Amino acid sequence: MATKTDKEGRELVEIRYEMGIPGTFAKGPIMGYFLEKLKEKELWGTRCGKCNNVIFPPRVLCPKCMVDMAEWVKMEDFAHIVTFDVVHFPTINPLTGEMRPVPYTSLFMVFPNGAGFFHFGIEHDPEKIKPGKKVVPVWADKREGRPADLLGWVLAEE
Amino acid sequence: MKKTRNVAIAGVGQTKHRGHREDVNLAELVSEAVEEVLADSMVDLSDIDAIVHGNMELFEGVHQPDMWHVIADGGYGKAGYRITTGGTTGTTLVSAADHLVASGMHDLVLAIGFEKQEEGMTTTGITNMSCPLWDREVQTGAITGTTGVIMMNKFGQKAEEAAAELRVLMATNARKNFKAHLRLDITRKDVLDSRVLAWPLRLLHMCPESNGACAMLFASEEMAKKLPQKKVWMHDHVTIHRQEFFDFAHLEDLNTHGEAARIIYTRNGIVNPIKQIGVFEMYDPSSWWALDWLGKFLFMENGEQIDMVLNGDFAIDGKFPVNPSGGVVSTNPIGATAIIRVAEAALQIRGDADDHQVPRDINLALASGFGGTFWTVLHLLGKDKPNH
Repeated sequence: MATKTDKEGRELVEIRYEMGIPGTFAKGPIMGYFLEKLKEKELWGTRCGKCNNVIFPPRVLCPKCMVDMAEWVKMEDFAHIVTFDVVHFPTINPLTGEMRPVPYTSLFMVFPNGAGFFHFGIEHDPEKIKPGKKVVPVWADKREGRPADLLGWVLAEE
Repeated sequence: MKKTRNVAIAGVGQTKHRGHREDVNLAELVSEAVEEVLADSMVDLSDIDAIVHGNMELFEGVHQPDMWHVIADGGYGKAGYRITTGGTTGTTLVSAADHLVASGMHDLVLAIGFEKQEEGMTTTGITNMSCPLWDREVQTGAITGTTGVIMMNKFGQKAEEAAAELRVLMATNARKNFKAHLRLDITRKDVLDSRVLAWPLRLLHMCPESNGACAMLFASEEMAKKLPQKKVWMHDHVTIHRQEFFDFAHLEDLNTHGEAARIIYTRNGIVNPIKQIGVFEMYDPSSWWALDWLGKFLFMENGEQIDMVLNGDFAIDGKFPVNPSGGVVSTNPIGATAIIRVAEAALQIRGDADDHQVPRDINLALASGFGGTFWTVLHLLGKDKPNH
């Protein structure tokens, strides 16, 4: 228990605590396949047979057409930046409970087949990151079929 | 919008919104807004039929807070439900209360939005909404400069000046509103010199984390006739969202504000919003978003709103007053933030906004809510009864 007083000197009482919430998430067959393929450094999406849009990461249904996805699509091993965030405000990663080191970069990208997605950028200098620039994935050495297998995206050498 | 019967706003109540409220717990904070709305509408708790109650439960980590809050809102034994739709929670509460009255189910419905952001961890709560199998790992919460990047690329330095000027305007307005949380005396330079959160978004562009509550009372036309407070009428509202399927690769897909505005204007005969609408209480989580969104709500495709900001057209005495309350960048108790927009719009129509009252008669007012999954709720209020 920590005790504070307000401006008039009245005692205020707060209870401080830290919560730990262990969690397990079922992958399901679609995300299960996607995450398994990360071990082989492959990125997969799914294509809607009606509107022809590719969704990445994959989903079992197209949310706009509400039909089953027609096929798996292997994504190219590069993408282009649409926009980005270099974040200097530390936040907790809710999956680990650990503070993210700052700065970190979120890239909003598009694959050549038109699928938009976001993920980490390795570059933190906003002068170097520009919409339209080509980026390639950086993989963890040890991959376990988890989101953290893909470390982020780095500017491709021109 | 087709309605079975008209709905009036019969009263408004708000706490003073502050950065610290360790002197009260959540329920006690809510009770302050409830006491004020009862006084404003001259209604007794026992007269209320149903209560809709909302906040972002993950932020404080208190689930089903409505159970605890019956000691604050008199909900014991009454009808009602709990609403959690992110940033739009407050405007969704208003939509729900409107539906409950318009349908004929209830005559008097109390809507309460609140948040005590000094408790819990807001950004962790926000990031917990993302899919845990992928997006949660890279979710940055509400701290994003992406709109700023896009606007800087499209309109250059002038956009940065206008975003800063818009923040200065909100501070000027907030200083006239004693209930606002941040009542800052700042210049454009102060904004541009404040520290970078996510370039080009700076600390002073961004909304604060506030503690506060707002309550509104909604009445059927028949019931409203019996109540003494000046009436404000619910004209129309619309909800548009993308849930998790928003796509930054297709920017046109993100314009839920424009889509909502088009529906509201078309259904209500609004051909010139700047002339026909007297005030707009817009949900502005950051000044960069505000700068972009004014263009979306007003259908300005070539950045005309940037010059309007620099000309002072959105000031309280300007051509199209925006956020005379000081907006979300000044006050942000999230579950209350969007209902405050509607409450402030109603006070403007009544002429009861005290020092931040727009100095002219207002017949129509617009109020928006926004949530992170490109979720827009837009309300149109009027001084006169709508023709349904």
